[in-house]
Amino acid sequence: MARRANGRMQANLGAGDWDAEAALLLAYANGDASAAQTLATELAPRVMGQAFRMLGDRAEAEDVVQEALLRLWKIAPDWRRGEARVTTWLYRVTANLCTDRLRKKRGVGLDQIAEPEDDAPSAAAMMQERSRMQALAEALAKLPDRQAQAVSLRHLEGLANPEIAEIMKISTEAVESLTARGKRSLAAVLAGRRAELGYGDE
Amino acid sequence: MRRSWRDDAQNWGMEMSEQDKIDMAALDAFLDQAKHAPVPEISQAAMARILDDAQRHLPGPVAYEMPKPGWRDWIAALGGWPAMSGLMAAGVAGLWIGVAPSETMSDVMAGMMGESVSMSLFPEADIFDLEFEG
Repeated sequence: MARRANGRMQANLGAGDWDAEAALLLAYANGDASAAQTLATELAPRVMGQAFRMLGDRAEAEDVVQEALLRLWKIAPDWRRGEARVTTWLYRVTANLCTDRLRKKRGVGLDQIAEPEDDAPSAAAMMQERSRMQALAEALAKLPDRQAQAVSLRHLEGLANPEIAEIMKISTEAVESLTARGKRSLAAVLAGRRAELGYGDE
Repeated sequence: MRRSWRDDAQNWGMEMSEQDKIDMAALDAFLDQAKHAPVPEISQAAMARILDDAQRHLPGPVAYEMPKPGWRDWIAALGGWPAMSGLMAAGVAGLWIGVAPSETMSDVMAGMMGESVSMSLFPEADIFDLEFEG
């Protein structure tokens, strides 16, 4: 049944129909390998974006994408339709995987973060972009996990508070509080590095 | 006196000063830049690993054919292990009855098996061991 629905669902996928992802997951759970390919093509870049914005590192972000999707493949047979949207679930898993990694990086200074091996012609702007993303990741690493997650979902992913509340399984008030505190913490951590990072009014 | 972000961090409960607002605006701009920073594409190698995982964990289609029953299935069908003990006791008892039948049993069995036996209403052998004195 799901296999037959697959073609139609794929056609709807571009329209942002969340149910399409659940239907594809169901098809995968019923042994349809092509559903996994469609899901991976659709979801991996999204997870990559979220992970890269939190971690500031391509290789680490790729690892997170693989791990997040691995969890999706494993949960597929037990996925209950209508219980949660696949994207909501993925935001949660990815945020958790990222803060897990950030926690391990805690205490490692920016100078000690290895330069990426990427030897593309490094324009000054690209260097600064990269060091900014790394500085952000380093600053997020110093925040409590939940604050880092709330700030990143709100300000890096641009999600609305009710959606963040669903992802983090807390109230919207709690999201507001976490985001506000997170931003204060972030500001404190980044204080004194504004000139170096090339932002702000100084 | 200009208050730094660090001071603010220690006074989260306080209302925002003008400087805080400027600082927060700078932070917002920084976060906004990060939000729109180009994201590297996933390498083909990583994508291959992802699809490999998917293939490896691909659940099989739901099995409709019944598996051939093994001896465990038979036991389960007969009521599981608790039923087995009763069944074995009955088996042992049956074996014993077969090996060492009482004489009465052999008469009854002979009758059942078609051997002709003559029975009187008053059996010569008093099977209930009742002595009639009379």
